[in-house]
This record gives sequence, C-alpha cells and structure tokens, in this order.
Amino acid sequence: MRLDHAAIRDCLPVRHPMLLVDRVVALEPGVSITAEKAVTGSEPCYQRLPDGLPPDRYAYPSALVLESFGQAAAVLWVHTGRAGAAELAEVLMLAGFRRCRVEGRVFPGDVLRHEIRIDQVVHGNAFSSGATYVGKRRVASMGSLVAASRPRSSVTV
Amino acid sequence: MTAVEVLDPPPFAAPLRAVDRIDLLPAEPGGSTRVRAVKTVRVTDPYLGGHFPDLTMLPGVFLVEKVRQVAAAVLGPRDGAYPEVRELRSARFLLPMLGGEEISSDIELTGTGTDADEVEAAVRCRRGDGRPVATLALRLGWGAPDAP
Repeated sequence: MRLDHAAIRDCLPVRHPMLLVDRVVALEPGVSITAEKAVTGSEPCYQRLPDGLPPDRYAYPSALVLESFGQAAAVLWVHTGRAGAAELAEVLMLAGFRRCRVEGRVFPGDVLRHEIRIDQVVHGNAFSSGATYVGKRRVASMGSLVAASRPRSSVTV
Repeated sequence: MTAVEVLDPPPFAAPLRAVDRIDLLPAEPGGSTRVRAVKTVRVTDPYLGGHFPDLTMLPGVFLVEKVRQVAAAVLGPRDGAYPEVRELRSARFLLPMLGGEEISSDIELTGTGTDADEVEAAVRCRRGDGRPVATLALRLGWGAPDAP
C-alpha cells in the first residue's frame, strides 16, 4: 500500500511548513511503514541563515528529523484502525521518545526514509521504533516513540 | 541571575529561535552548569502556523531544539562547531504548550569541563501556571555525530 501527498494530508492535521512527510512508499496497516521526506534549502529553517558558514552549519536540524519520523509513525498509527479518518477531530501528539540516536548529518537534497514498525498499542498510545536512512546510510536510530491521540476538547479547555 | 546572550538568529540551520531568554542559576558544588531558559509560544514563529492551522501548539521536538540552542549559547563553539544533539535519551510530553504560554525550562548541563567533548542535559519544563509540561534527558557533543 502506498500513499500520495493528498492521502497524507487526509490523515495528518499538520500543514505547511510543518507537514514533514511527503509520501508513503510502503504501508502495512497495524505493522509497519516506509515514508519519505525530501529536505530542501527552501525550508524555513534555512531562511535566516547567513552565507559563508562552515558546511556543517547547514545540516538539517535533528528536531525536524525527529518530528518527521513522528509524523510518519502517526500515519501508520492512523491506519491501524484505532483512529480512523473520522476521528481526526482529535489532535495527534508525540507523547514521548526513548533512546533516539543521531548517527549522521542530513543536508538539502537528501531524502529521509523512515522505516518504522508498531511494537505495541496500549490505551490509545502507540509504541513504535525504527530508523531513518538517507540512501543506504543510517542517519538516526529510534529506540521507542510514543504517539498519543487526545481529544481536541482536552487540549483547548 | 546572570543573563546569557541568546543566539539570534542561531548561526546554524534552526526551525525557530527556540529560546527568548537564558539566565544562569547558581552553580552546584558538583560542577554542573544550571540555566533557566524561557520561550513564549508564538503563532508567528516559523513552522508554528502549520502546527496546527487552527490551534497553535509548540511541538515537543522544539524543546529538543531549545536545549540545543541553549547549549550553543552557554557552552559555545569548539573548532567552529556548536554542540549538537547526539542522543535523545528520553522525553516525556505531559501537557500541550499552547500559543501565548511561556515555557520555562530548567536545564542542568554536566560534563561541561573544557576537556569533555560531550555533555549530558537534564531538563524540566513548566508553563506559566507552574504545571510541568515536559521532561527530557539528552546527550550533546561537538563534532561528528555517532557512527551507526
């Protein structure tokens, strides 16, 4: 199963420029997902950056790699059947991380590929793990990520 | 409390200016560096307009970015490189951080001697009403990240 960008918008509440999943190249609901996000120099994180810095300063922020991974995990979770499209009045949130290691730098032009599996779903919380690659190079390993769905009313009240 | 100058804009790719104010807290006998870092959640911050279109919430990962920027401001560069996150050991996000709220993070940096090439950060975040919103533990380092 694959998802194009329109289908991703249907199942994630985040929008430009915070929508950090471009397409899903493999999805087995309830089990695993492989999702891609292309990094470009036109993203807001490069907007205020001066010229002439050492090359490493242009590395894509790790926080956005984590967020992109989390959004891909959320797409998988939405397709586990626990929270279908009808429930998207709910706010999807990352509830926690454990043992997420940064193992390589990412630069504009790179395509992140998140390979994620669901380990457990308990009381509406989904526990996932996996890794992020650029080509064959692993750039992050994610020991555990917890995604939670919370009713919008509980967030805004 | 002694203020530390915020890097604005940060001299590296960053999703937003993740901290508005940094104050040094009194040093502990053990030699760690303790700071309080404050950030107000603003819909006008880059990326927050999309998180979410009709409800502004600070993404939890931007607390990771906050620790990175605080470490960069407090500890500074070495050989041209600022400290970067090498491992997010743990993070728990307890309550939403909504637009307009002030998020105060107490950050303890250990292993900050000049000969250490890594530091550990223990972080507790509260919002304006004093309720805890997140706890994090990270390892940061200068230079190349861990090999796979």
